[in-house]
Amino acid sequence: MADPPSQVQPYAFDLGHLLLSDPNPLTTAPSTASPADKEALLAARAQLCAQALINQLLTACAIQRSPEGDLHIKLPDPTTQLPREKPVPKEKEKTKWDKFAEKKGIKAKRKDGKLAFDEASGEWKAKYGYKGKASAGAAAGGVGEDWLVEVDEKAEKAEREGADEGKKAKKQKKGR
Amino acid sequence: MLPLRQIKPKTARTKRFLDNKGPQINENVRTTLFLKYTTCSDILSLVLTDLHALKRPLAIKFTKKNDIHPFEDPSSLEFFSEKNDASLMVYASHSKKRPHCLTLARFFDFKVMDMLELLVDSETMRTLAQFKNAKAAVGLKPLLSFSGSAFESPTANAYTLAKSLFLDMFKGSEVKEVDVEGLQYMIHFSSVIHLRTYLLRTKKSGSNLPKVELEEMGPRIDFRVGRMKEADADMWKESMRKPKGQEAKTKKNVETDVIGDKVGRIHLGKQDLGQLQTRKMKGLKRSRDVVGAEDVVGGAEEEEDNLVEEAAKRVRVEA
Repeated sequence: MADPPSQVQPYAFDLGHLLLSDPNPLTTAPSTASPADKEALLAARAQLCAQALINQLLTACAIQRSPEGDLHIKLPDPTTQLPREKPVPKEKEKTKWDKFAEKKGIKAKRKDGKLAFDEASGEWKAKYGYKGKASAGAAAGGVGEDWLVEVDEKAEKAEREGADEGKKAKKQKKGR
Repeated sequence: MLPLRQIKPKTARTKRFLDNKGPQINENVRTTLFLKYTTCSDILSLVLTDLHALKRPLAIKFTKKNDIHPFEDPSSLEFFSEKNDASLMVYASHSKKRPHCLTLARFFDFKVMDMLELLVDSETMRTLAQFKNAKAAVGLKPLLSFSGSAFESPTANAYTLAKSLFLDMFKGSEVKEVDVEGLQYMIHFSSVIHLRTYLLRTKKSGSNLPKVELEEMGPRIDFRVGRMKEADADMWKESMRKPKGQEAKTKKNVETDVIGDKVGRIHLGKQDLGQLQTRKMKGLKRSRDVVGAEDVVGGAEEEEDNLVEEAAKRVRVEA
């Protein structure tokens, strides 16, 4: 874990890309060394980098256990900005209405919602439908429990006759 | 070459496809295209196969040969880029003048942005298959490291371009978190460019951090830098633009310090010293001076509070 004596400049990390930049020059040019020496040199250098990167990942990042039981390392956002693949999407051009609405300060109407506050019970209730205001008690302006009422025959008959008489009178009027 | 005809989507499916291909705020991961010139050495074919193996599944490999000179006329490459929605290319060619030549090209909006020629050293090249060991799983995000001062140069040169291109090529998808098991291999670049790929082996050490050991996985490639084409300043600027409204809102007065602790700052209003409760003493009672002459004994306690308030008001007026 100890850094080599040649290490003067510290490593730079970009954990979002899992990237390590080691700015120190290579001590002996690998091209001049014999092939075996060169590989050993590069491997030693790579080992230091790998160790530093793993250490940094394990110390600087939060580690969580996923629902499946795997250990996950949370990575920060990358700091090295790379060029985009395609241009930034253009903003949609405003329509005539959009411009007008903006000028006038017209905003899209917000929906009122299905619930309304019922002061009597102190609860939020549906304006209509199941458990709605209509199904509330008669006092609250709804049908309530009296959703089925027996027909009063007498009253019904009297009403019908009254209507018939009215019709007759009308006919007579026309006939005259 | 003629540009691709503009398609107006007729079905929802085509629209989805075109939207995915078009400019987006959060971009897709780059696809890399691997292709070769009419003459391509065996060594280079192997290099291409291995790089493709490392890049899978975000890669397309062409088998047919192409007569393209990227530095002279990249229009064919641009056509391929658009056709395959690939914005990175690795082009292999072999000639007497430029033996074992690998050209890395990066595209912006299906146009060539920057290119770099890398000449492979045929002597030291070793393929993935030449190392007899278990390889890392396909499609994992590799660890990347760049050693050498050339990569960190403040002025743009072939090495900084190589770093940018290699980073773009191997970074894989941008993820919020990685599985510890997924940290299986590292690609190491050292200047006067040596590409080495190692498998990571973690061993227990005395401390709570593991000891990392490396085992070479291959490929092993040494490059020399050839020609390069730097990005056009305007195009580069356009490509580095950030979409609006993407920045995370900075929370006021909340900071993270060097150690990583969250620090909050609270602003209190100006303290009203008039309201300050000081030590209560009989001698300091205001009632002593005022009421002393009249000698009121009863109700002095009740009056005290009112007087303190009044005193407070006066202090504020004076201040």
